[in-house]
Amino acid sequence: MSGPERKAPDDKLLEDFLEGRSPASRAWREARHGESAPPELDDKILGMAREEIQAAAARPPSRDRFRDRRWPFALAAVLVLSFSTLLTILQDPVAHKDAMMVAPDVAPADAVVLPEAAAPVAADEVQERRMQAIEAERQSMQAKRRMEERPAKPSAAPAAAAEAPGSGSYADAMHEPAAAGGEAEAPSAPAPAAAPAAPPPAPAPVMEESREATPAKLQAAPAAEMRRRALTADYLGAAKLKGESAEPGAALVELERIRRMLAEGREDEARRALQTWRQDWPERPVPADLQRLLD
Amino acid sequence: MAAFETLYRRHKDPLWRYLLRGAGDREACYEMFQDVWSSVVRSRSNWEPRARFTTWLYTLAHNRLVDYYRLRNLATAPLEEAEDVAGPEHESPDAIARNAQLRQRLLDTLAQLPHEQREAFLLREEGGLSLEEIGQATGVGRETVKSRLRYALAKLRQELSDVWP
Repeated sequence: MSGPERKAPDDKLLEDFLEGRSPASRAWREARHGESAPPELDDKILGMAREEIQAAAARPPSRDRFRDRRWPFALAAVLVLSFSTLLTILQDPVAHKDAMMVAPDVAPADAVVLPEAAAPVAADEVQERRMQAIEAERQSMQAKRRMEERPAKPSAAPAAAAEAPGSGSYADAMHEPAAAGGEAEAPSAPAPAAAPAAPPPAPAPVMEESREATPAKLQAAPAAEMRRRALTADYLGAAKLKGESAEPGAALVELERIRRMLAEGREDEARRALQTWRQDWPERPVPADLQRLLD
Repeated sequence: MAAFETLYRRHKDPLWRYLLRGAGDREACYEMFQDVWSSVVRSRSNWEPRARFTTWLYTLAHNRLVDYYRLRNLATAPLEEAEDVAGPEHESPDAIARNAQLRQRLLDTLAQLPHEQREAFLLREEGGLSLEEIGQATGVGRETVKSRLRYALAKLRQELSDVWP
């Protein structure tokens, strides 16, 4: 008969063993008597522990050091990245324009087609160009209104040009891209011959703001040179609006040469060179500042 | 440093015997003994005050012993033979001879046990760990530890029946 309090032999054996009453435990205690770790290991291990603890005390915990400094590091990284990005945008006109979210049709005349046209201009000239752009816009609206009044007559545009000097070729410029299906170029446009020094309206303020931000460059460039560059840029913008390729090439180089002749007082030579230029590139309009040589 | 030295002096001999009887090889035990104490020093920050130092120490020792088994491909096979133990010198020659014979039989029997059972026995006898602590050190449950100890004790009793009534 086995009651619940009576344990199985194995359990009794285990219980005795766990309480240290087992013969196996006694035998083991006798067997291990005198058996200990070699003394030479004591010095070795204690010496190793001493060195390790001293070395650990000498150096600060690296993980905590990083934790303490991670926020300043992150802040510094953000500031450096922001500053470099801002600097890139301010120094690169194209990136600046993109950052200001200006429409892409304003780029060619000043920034893309003729890189040297992006040179800084004086603040008063900036103001002047703004006024010219406003005036050109006003004239273009008038021309457009006239064309709408006489839509059936194909010669209406030249007639309008005759009636309103300075706006007629701009009317042509409005007309031709529309016929060619060029929507992007239609809204802006000074004519090269009739609207002297009239820049494409939209880009001018944005680009000029970036120029105003670099006063050192403003002082560095001579006014005449800047003026000539502005005229060239205007001319290129007008040529583009006329549907021509606005690439800076031999025609532009020749025009620059003619301007230099004028500046040096060799007017006859410049006039002859301009006539030759017109024969070589009959499709190109004569820049406004050289119109007087044709008279 | 003084605290470490106290701990070392308290636990070094039981740990030595645990490793020596667990591995059955004095040279390997020499190396493992240093490794375990080196681990104690290096990973002292990992020790949780909730756990007994003894349990943590024997956990490190058990892991080192398991590495040794794997290296030697011992798996659960018993040891070849037990390491001899010298008897105390103050006993009479007859008593020394008798006790030495008994010790050797015990050690031989222990060496014949599968290493899980041998470890459970040694952790209890040398480390003084409870069933739960043995399970914690070896990564098994309490009932498994009990089972291993039962098998180990049954085998020891069978082999030492003349002195174990």
